[in-house]
Amino acid sequence: MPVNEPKIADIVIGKLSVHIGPNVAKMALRTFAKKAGAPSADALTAADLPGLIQEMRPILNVMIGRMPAEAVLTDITRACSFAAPT
Amino acid sequence: MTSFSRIGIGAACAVALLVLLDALLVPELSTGARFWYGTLNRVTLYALGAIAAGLAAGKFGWWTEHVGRAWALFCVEFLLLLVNYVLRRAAPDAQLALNASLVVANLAQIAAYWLMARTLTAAGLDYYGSRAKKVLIIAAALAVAVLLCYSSLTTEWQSIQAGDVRPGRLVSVLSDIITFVLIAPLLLTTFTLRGGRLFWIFGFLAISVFGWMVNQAGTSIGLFLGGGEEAGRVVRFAGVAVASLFNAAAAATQWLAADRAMKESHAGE
Repeated sequence: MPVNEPKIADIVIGKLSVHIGPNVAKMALRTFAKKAGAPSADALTAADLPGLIQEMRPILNVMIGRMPAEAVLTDITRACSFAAPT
Repeated sequence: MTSFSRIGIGAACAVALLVLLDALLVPELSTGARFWYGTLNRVTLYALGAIAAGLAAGKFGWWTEHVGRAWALFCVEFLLLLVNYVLRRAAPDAQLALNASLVVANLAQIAAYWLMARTLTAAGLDYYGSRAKKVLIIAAALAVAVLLCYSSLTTEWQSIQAGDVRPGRLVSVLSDIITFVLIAPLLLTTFTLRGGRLFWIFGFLAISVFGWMVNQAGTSIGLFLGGGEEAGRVVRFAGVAVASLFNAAAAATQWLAADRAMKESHAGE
């Protein structure tokens, strides 16, 4: 696996930042990575992704609306499928 | 420059143009023409606010989602402000309809700003910054709200003591105070969301609350500027223009941000 492939945490923060800004994106990822079972946001693996998506869905539904939230979560899942496992 | 900043610049330019026209044109008009010019301006602003909020509410299923509920309430507020304004001009004796439309418009306004102001809390997140800073900002907003509404509040209190209760006016003053206090959580949310698209929505909403503040303090600002009654009228109109146009700008931004999110996802497929 090439070393320059982005980590899952960076991809998620990048995708969320477009909508809710980097501060809230980092805050949300820290909170929901732990709820999804990862020891920290930086240690997220592809296996944690379904849980993370489930945890993030309610906040995005409130913040940006249900359909845009689904679009963003689909986009994150797609982008993370190419990410390097950490 | 992003589409969102362009929406804000567009709203600011529209406010400047409307206020300039109002200040320069109205003193030259006859009484009849002044009546129709003022009516047309207000009806257009309120209708624009209602249509933009309605479009945003429709994008989020009207009442089924948090954001949709807020925009549905903004839509009701502007529709009823429009009805109230037209009634005041066409049927000034219809007290029940005037009071009812004003009370419901104000309640819808409070509920709408309240829903938007607690978006972060509803999502399970917190504002950026220390607790002391948050308390300080809320206390400052409360002080400004009471200062701006003190004169109206005193007038309504004296009316109640004299046995003349005016429910429409009383609810309007109380809702102004609550709305002005809500500028604090709106500003905190705006600051927390900086760097994201939602930043613009909350920023425009905070500016729209500022517009209602200017409208409330219009007479005092007019006197302070040394322009008397006419300057007060122009400042009050400027406040309504800022409130309506920036609310419409926030609605347009909300709609556009949702639309972009969905289109970008489809583009990535």
